[in-house]
Amino acid sequence: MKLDKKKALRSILIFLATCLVFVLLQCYSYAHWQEKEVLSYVTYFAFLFSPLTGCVLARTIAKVGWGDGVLGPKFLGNGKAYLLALLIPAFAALLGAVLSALLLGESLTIKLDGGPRMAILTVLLCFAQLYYVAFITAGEELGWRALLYDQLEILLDTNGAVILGGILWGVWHFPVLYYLGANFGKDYAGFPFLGILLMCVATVFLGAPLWLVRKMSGSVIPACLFHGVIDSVFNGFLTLFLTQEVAASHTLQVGIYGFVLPSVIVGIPSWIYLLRLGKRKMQTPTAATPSQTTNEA
Amino acid sequence: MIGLIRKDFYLNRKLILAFLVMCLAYAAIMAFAAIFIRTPGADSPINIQFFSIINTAMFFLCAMSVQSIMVQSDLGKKTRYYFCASPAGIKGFIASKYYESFLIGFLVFLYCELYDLMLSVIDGKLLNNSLLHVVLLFMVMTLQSITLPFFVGFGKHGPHIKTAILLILFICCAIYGLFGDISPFMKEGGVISMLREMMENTDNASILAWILGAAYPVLICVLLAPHLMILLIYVSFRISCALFRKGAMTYEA
Repeated sequence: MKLDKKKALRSILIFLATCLVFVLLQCYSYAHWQEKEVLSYVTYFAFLFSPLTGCVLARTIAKVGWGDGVLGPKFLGNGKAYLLALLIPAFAALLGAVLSALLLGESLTIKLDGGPRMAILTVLLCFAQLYYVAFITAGEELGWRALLYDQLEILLDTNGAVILGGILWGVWHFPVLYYLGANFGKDYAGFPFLGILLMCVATVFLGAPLWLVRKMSGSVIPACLFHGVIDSVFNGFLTLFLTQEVAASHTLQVGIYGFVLPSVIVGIPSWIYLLRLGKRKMQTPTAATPSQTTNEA
Repeated sequence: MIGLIRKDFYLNRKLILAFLVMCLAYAAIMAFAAIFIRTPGADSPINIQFFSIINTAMFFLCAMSVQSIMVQSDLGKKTRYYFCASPAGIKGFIASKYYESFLIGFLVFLYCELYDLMLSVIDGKLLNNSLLHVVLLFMVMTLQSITLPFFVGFGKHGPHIKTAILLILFICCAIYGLFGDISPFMKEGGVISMLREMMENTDNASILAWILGAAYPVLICVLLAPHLMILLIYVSFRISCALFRKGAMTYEA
């Protein structure tokens, strides 16, 4: 047990060190290499895939290995996890769009130029690009959910893993929050600390359902799809009920109502279910492996 | 399941090695060509977009051949008994064939991305065809999901039947092309001009612009296509499982 904790700590440190290097590189790139098109593109993708790089390094150097089989899709018998991976973020995105419109005093009518026809196309486009986006989000998920959360759970417990993992995941977004003003913009009091804090709240609560689908299926692919839906659908759904002018003039509010609040709403039940799942697994006696049975015999 | 995939990769290691060597050699030759043709300081005389398209088309076609050869491993009637009784079962065995196809396609996708990056670094201009690569990956998987039930259903005769069907289709198209009325395809805005336009503009922005500029019914079909492809792969998987089971039962009889 002590050996496992040492190994987990080592893998976490290697993972975090790798991510930190790429975060700093990305900050430097945003500050100095904006004009260099190819270089900034390379550093951006290196940053997006830094959790994956960290995962590979940590699993290799700390000898965690790949025995947990997280890379296998495990479609068979895990339809529920895959369905949840699509439904939870889609519901959160729709909820976010509705909440943003209502709390900003807008009516719940389609604000897109083409009306309902355009709304259908927007929704279809969001879901069509999901597969493309999922390739990119795999770079993140293979680090966060396929390594960090699991190792944190060995060190701490499920709650600790969700909270600390979520905070680390949120802080990792610093370059895009600070230099691009992603999710919350730049024109608000307390920039950039408030933005980072809000992102951490969202990532802590979003981490719970993401880890839930990963644990339910034993594969990281549903988590990649889940993250893909978040990245492709959230902004698309917001454009249904909010005009561009309203969204541009209330970036912080839209970020809170449209992203943080729905994350918390879907995060709490998922977190509770995650804890129940852990308890159930602990109560279920583990089946003896064939080798154990042979030895006992 | 992972063991089954590993087995097929091991059985076809020479083919995969040859494919990898070919990929690397081709990338190295193209890199040298691009570096030596280029004049420092002047506008690039090479069309890196063209270099990229040729590479993408060539390697996705190669990937289809490699996939076809790989998935045929251990599909013979004699081994069916064994796989029916293996812990992975029939579904696991058939699923492993689909995963293998996807893995080969995904490796080619990654290779094409890295190849484009290499060309971008050499030329200094960003080349972004990733959307096209994803579309091709989906298309390769779709074609594979059409052919896999043939391989499973007809065993070693599967590739011959597939070739025969393709040949018949080709002959039909050739006869129509030679003697039929092809004016609707050739006119401005027809299929041929649309394809030519697509071939010339394959970067992400152009593809998105083309999709968004299409007519409403076309747009709906394009946007639903990825989901339909997934559905097709699932249906193909179910058919393959049924055919495999039937084949094993016939052998038993």
